[in-house]
Amino acid sequence: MLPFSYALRNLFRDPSRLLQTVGGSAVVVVLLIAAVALNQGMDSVLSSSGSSENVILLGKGSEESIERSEVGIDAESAAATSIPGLKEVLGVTAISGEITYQAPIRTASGVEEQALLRGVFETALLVHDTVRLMEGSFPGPGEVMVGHLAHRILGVAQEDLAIGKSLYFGESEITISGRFTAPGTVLESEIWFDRNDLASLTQRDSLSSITLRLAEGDIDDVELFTFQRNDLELASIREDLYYQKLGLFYEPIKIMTWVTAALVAAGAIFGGLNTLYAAFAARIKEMATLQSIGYTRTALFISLIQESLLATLSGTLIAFIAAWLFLDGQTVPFSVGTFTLTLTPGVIFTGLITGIFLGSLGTLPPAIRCLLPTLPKALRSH
Amino acid sequence: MSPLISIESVTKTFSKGNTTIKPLVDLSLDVPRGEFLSLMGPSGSGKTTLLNLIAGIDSPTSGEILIDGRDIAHLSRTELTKWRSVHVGYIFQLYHLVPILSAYENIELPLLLGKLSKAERKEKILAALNLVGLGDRADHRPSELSGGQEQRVAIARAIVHDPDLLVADEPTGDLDRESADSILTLLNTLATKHAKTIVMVTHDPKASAAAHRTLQLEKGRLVEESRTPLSSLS
Amino acid sequence: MKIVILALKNLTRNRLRSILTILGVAAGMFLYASVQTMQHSLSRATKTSAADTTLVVYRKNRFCPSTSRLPEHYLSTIESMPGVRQVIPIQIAVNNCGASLDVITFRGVPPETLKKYNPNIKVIAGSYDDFVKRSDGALVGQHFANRRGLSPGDKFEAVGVNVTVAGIISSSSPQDENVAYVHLPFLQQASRVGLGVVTQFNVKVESADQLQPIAQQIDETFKADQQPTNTRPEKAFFAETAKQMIELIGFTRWLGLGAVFAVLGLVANAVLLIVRGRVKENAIFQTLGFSRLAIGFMVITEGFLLGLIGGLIGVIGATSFFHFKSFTLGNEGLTLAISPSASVTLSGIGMAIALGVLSSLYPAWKATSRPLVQSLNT
Repeated sequence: MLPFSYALRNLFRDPSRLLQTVGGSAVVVVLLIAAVALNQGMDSVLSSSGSSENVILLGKGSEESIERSEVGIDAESAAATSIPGLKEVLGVTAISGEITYQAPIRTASGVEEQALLRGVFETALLVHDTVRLMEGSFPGPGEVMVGHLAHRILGVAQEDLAIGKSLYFGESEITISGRFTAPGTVLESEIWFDRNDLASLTQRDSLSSITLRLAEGDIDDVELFTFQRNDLELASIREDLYYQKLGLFYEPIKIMTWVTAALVAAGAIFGGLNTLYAAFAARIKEMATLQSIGYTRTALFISLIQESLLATLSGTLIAFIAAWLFLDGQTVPFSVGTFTLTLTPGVIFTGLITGIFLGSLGTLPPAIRCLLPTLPKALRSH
Repeated sequence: MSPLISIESVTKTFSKGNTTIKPLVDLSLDVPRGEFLSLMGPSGSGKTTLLNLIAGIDSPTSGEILIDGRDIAHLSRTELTKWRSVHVGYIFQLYHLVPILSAYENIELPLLLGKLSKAERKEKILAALNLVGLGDRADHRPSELSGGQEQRVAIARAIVHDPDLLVADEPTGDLDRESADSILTLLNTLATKHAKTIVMVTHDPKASAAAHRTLQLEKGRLVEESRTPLSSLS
Repeated sequence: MKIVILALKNLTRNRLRSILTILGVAAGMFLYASVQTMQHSLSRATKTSAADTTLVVYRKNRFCPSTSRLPEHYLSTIESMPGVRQVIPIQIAVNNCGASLDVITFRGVPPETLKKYNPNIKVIAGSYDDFVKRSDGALVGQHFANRRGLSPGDKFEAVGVNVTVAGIISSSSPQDENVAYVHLPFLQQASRVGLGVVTQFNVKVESADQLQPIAQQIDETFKADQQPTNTRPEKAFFAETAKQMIELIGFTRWLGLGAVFAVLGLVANAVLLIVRGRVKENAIFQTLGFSRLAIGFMVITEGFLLGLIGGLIGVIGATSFFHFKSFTLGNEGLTLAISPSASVTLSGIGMAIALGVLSSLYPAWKATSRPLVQSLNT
């Protein structure tokens, strides 16, 4: 076996080639990490936003989007009394009729953006158990509480949504009374109103949805209710499945992300292959000399792979550092909420495997080409 | 004493597109131990092919090649590689030193294939360096050496593992007269004083004059044989 | 011309390198052309031109169609305004308001008024009369029909609405190609907004210079009403409403830029490798009598050819892709058909050529700047 220092020294033989290989691998790994983190972030916020213990009642035909759904107000009390097995906390049934709306909100500093609004009563806290009031109080009339990441949707600094500050819906002024967290869910990007307030502001006389929390009951009980009370024209869906379905809408956008990453990576990989082929072609004679001395092709092949792996893994390290500095923790707002890019172990593992693949499989064709010619031919080559 | 090299009816054929090329045709040859043999002939005469066969870098299409009693003509590529690492030292026209290694490290390469300790290797390398007269250049890289010095390092690399057989392909082809002469003297010493068997391919009549015997090849066959008078060998 | 042939032959010498480079260029240019196609489609939908005479009357401060509810009786008020040629009430039902590729949009309109309002609508399959006769009949835009594989007579269900395809239409207005037109009362009932409520009014005015004044007049008229309005030219309406989609497409501009740099780097690298491997040969050419300019020109030609061939594959690939796969982006009830255009194809190929030439300049200089003697002794 050739000494490891041989592989190391060969790397520095051509500094521009080394830079290109390290840089190229860094680009490919960063792209892959970004694509994986983006997909994972989107998936995870959607999957943790819904609980399997909650069931949502929506207007029939609107199962794909709560925003379009209309549910009569009297359906809430009908559901609370008719559906067995609902959770109860201190005598209060865990059922929350809500209005979900997207409309422009103006901050005190004058920034106006489309925001995610939810009109609720306090029973909402019994149903959405990830929500925790961080500071201040639950909104009463004329008040709202803002999610921890709501500022990202509005594109303003967190201080602009501090307690006591005002927000504007059309001409109506509302005061921020509290802030809440709901880590890893879309709820964290929302602004919660008192339901009566939102109903009059949006001139709605109906709800968007009713969310129930099950205890001993199950989805069949809820479905039975929707069949029995056909007049209410309701459909039911488990909350986690609703968000899963939402995720399907983003499939094409996710595919676009992957395709883009793949195309740019392909360009980088082809460039790298070109460089490697040229670099190894210049060493055919050297390889032949070592073979004539008595080194087997396997030993030489391993040395070439060592060299490549050193370069690509260095690039991978640079990619990790860049990703950690610029990507990790970044919040990305999208239509129903905000998700966070995280360098999970899975993401890091993907990056590592990519670096290893580039250095081993990627080197395979040029290395084989370099070692394939018969000795007499190789010794004579130029 | 049996010859070190015994070649029996060796033919080499290969096809290039639609034509068949025969660089060697039914060639037989014996080379006694300690002989410095030179092979001469015009371009395409088969001399380099013959050299490659003797060195185990290539295999014949038919015939027998016995080196120290072992038929290498039918060894597999892996077996040949292993055999070479022990029994052959190869000297090239363009030295073929590894540019990123020092003279010391270049010479060390054949020893790394064996099981010697670091200290044992050092001993052999320094001995080889001293033999070729470059004891003070151990740490120099090829780019810091002259052509003649590079070839000496190459020769040191070829002998450091103490092979019986040295093959040299135009070893003085790229050197000036003075350097060429000193290399030839060195080769002659290796054969005469250190009992190395040397087979050399050359175009240069002066180079073949340094050898013990010269064989002329033409169109793949031996056509002439001459011996250098002992008096002209110093 | 001889030098071009020589350059082409040189590229075939190292087939593998040329193929890898061309494939890489093709990948980069595919991405670039795709991005440009999206930008171009968006620009067509949002940049108001002198020929535009359409206004959209929408509920003030609302974006998602399910949140805009205007009384149908506004129609007569708007119709009577001077300068207004034609008004059509539209109820929109859409399956998702967020930016997405799989959007289904229904537009409920008074069936007899549709053709009067938009005479450019051509029925390419089925019949308009069928549409008028059937209360659950739908006129489906070409793109929509292609996406869902629909033909006249097919029944389909979406957004809680069941319709039968009466005809397939094609129109110069891009919005029409991606929607299904149904009867207004039918949609009002099926989507449960109730009769008498519509999402918007589309207003055709006599001439483009009347767009602003009439828009202002409409908004003034309903300012104090229960449902105040916001009236804008159709394209401006699109630009202000489909914000998410526009942001997304705007973001892709960076991808296009990235693709350009990737291609530049790839070809520059390949040509540099070519030059490095032919130092002696180029020197010999010079001793034979070729000028430095000729050698440099040959190098640039090789870069040009790599860019051209890769660019043709990538750009034409992207054009065909968008031609055969009808992509439609939807957002807040509006749809954008991503369709290829000749100008994008031509400019894409031009860009590929430019990149190929640009990236060869440095290598060409390198190939000819070394002293002849040094190169011969390599």
